Amino acid sequence: MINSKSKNSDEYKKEVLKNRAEILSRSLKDQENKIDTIEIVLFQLDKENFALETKYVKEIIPLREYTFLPCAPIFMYGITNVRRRILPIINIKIFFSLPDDPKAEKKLVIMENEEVAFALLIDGFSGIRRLSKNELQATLPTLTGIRQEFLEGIIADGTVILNGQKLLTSTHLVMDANI
Amino acid sequence: MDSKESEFFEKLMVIFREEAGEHLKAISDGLLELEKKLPQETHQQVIETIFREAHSLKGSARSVNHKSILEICQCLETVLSLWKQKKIEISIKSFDLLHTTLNIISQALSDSVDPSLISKTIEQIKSLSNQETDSVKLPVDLPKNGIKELETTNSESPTSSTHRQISQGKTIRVSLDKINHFFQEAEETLMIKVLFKAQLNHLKELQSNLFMQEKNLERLLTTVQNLRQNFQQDQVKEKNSILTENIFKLSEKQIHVAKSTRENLTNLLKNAEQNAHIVATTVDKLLDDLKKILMQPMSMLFETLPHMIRDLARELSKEIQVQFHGEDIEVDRRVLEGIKDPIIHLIRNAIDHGIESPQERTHSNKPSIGTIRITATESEGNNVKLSIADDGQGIDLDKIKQVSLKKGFVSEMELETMSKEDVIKLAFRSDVSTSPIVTELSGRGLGLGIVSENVDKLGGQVEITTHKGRGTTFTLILPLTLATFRGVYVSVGGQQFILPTHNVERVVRVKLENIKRAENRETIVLEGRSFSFVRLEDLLEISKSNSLTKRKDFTFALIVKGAEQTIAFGVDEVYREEEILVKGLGKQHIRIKNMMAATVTETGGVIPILNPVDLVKSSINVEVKYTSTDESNGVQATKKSILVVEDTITTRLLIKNILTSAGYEVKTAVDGVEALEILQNQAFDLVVTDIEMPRMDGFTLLEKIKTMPQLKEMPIVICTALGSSKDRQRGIELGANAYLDKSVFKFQSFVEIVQKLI
Repeated sequence: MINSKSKNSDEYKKEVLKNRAEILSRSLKDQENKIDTIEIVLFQLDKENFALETKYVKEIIPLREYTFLPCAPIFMYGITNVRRRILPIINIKIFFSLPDDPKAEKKLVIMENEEVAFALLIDGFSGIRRLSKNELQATLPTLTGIRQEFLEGIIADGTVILNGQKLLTSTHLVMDANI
Repeated sequence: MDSKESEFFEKLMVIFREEAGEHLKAISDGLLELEKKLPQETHQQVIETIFREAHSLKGSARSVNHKSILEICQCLETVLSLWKQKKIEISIKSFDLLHTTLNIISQALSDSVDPSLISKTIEQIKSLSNQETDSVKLPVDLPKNGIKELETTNSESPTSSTHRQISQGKTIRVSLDKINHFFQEAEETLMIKVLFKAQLNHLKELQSNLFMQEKNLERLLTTVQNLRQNFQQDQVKEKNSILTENIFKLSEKQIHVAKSTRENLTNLLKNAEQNAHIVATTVDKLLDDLKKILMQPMSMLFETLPHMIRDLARELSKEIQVQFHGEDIEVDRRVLEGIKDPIIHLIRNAIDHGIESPQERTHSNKPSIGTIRITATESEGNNVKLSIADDGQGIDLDKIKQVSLKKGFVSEMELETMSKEDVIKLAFRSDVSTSPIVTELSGRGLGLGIVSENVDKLGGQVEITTHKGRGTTFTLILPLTLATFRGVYVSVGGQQFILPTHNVERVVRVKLENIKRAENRETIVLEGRSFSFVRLEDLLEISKSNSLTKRKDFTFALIVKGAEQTIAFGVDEVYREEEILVKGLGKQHIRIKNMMAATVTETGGVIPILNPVDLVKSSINVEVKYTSTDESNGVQATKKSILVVEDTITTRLLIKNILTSAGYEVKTAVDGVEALEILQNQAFDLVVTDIEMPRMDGFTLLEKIKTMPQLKEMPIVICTALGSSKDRQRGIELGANAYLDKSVFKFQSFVEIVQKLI
């Protein structure tokens, strides 16, 4: 190693320590960033803006062919085949009393955890952004019941953030007919 | 770190549970052996084996630090070691206690046990071992050398170690999850087969198109040829003649191209056909072989039964011996799993209602010990016959007739023409029970329905033979391996559906004029048999406007069998019948009425598979709906009334609330005396009563009610903490319709029982 400073010199040691300190402080800043912001997927239900944290979203695909299932609960839009796997399509607009828009370019937000997998029907996808956690406001107290359950919060421009965890674990979305 | 550790511990617990289950099984088997009269030598050997198993269990419990199991095992070991040394007598009571202990350990394995129960059990076992003379000190376990001990025990036991060596050489343990996953993947190869077939069909279509083109070209050529001749004869302009000459040459060339293309295609088709055949046989062979991996001997199922039979028999004070035959026959494990519940149902029925009490048996000159014979035999084709035979009192056909008549399932006229087999089949209806008494065990009429449904799901059948006074035999005819699913493609209201071929008896074309309408029900008659006719469109509530190509003169009907009943379903179109790869409706459990599963087509579309049992059930419900609306302007409008007799206020209010919310008019009384007063002034549809009450108890009340002619027919439900079989027996004798144990009381089943009675 060609270096003007000898390895044992104080100067060298100082520099090493300084570098270390910098690295340590930097990574801390990064961590802070991560804690303070979340990444969200923006989409529309009817004309209204909604969002979901990206960690709950596996992928977004266009709605192509799907099959209507008779006798299913009304929030079940149908079933579709995604790479040889059948997924139920959930129409959460039912819970928000939003009308169906036949002209919308419908897409599917695929959500999945260990036990559950489904496709959330949306009317349009408008991108991904980072959101600082302090932008997030609690939902309106006027919202109650199921609507309240599915909501995480609301941001200044009126976009409603859905609670991905609740969507995946909600008992309202269980399809278990009692025969 | 913490999460990693707990994850590791979780894994360890899973292994422990599995291992502990095996030890428990071995101990239980040993205990059952000991209860038989064994030669002295074998007897000692069996005790030795049990002792070792208990010891190993203790060791594993210590390694995962499962304190309660550890403690129970210590006591258990003490008792067993006393048995070994013949220091205490082996009584029937101690067998009971040890069996209970095993149950508690297995409950403790799933952490669902009341700690007080554990300490109680430990007390009881300790009291067993205290019977020995005080002078002998027991070999109490020393925690520090536990593991070492464990090792020596293993090497000391030659039988078990050689057994282990053998199994190590020839078999391996693979987790079921892995195999199931692998199996699913392998089943996907079925899709390749379907794809090849579809491709072949496309090629064939192309071939015939080309053939058409060739023919057309030939015709064109002839036309041009004639034209050319005409030109030559007429000696018209030379220019035209050249033109036609060109057209002719071109057409000729075109024909050659077409011909060679067709020849190429024919070769390709031959190849494709061969490939499709190779793929089909390879896939079939692969799936067949795979199914064999999943084969397990019948004994896997049989093993679990003796313990249960013993417990039940003791609970009901009956003496029963059980015999097994054909435990070596290998069956798909999914079939074994699927018939476990039906078999348990049938055995419960046999013990509870089939086999009489020892006194009754001696009275009718039968051996006092009842016998249940469970036999598996391989039968024709790919089937196994599994029969469960008891030598009890048999099914009372007259009773089935009475109940079915009362419930309005059959008319008196229908009954007269019914064969014995048809009458027995009525018992499969979910609400027919021949048992005069409803108990927590059986007699609610659901049992046989569930049996038939589960067996049907596996593609099997149920047969019953019964002889009054001599016993009943249920025979389940089951497939050895689960056959590949086949389905019939139909269209209803413009949408395609699939019905399982197994449930479709036949497909017929029905003229619309032959569909008869009577009492809000449509029927069709085929070869003298009459079937209810239900349009799938109506049942599935698919709007009719979708079906554009509605025919005016005829429709198709599928004769579908489900839950031992047959109904004709009307569909718009029937396409084809073929092998289908069944897929669930999603990753999570999804249960939708009338839908069973779905399949993916070669173009990626999804077609729902209908659930035949649901379809049949919902069509019957539709009928019931009609009839009840007919009656609604009459008697139905008034609420049914129930009198609840119970001295403790909490229970009284609880029962009242349950029944009121189920839509009944409820009145209460605090004891038998008050109840009788109320009953003299007001009519009730049903009485629910406790047994232990001041002034007049439930038995006396029951007796009094049964002597009053106007109240004699009123159903009575006993709901009490006196759960012994003697009390139950007394309740039956006095004419109660149901006897429920308060300690295992469940709201839902209580309401169901009441609903069945009135």
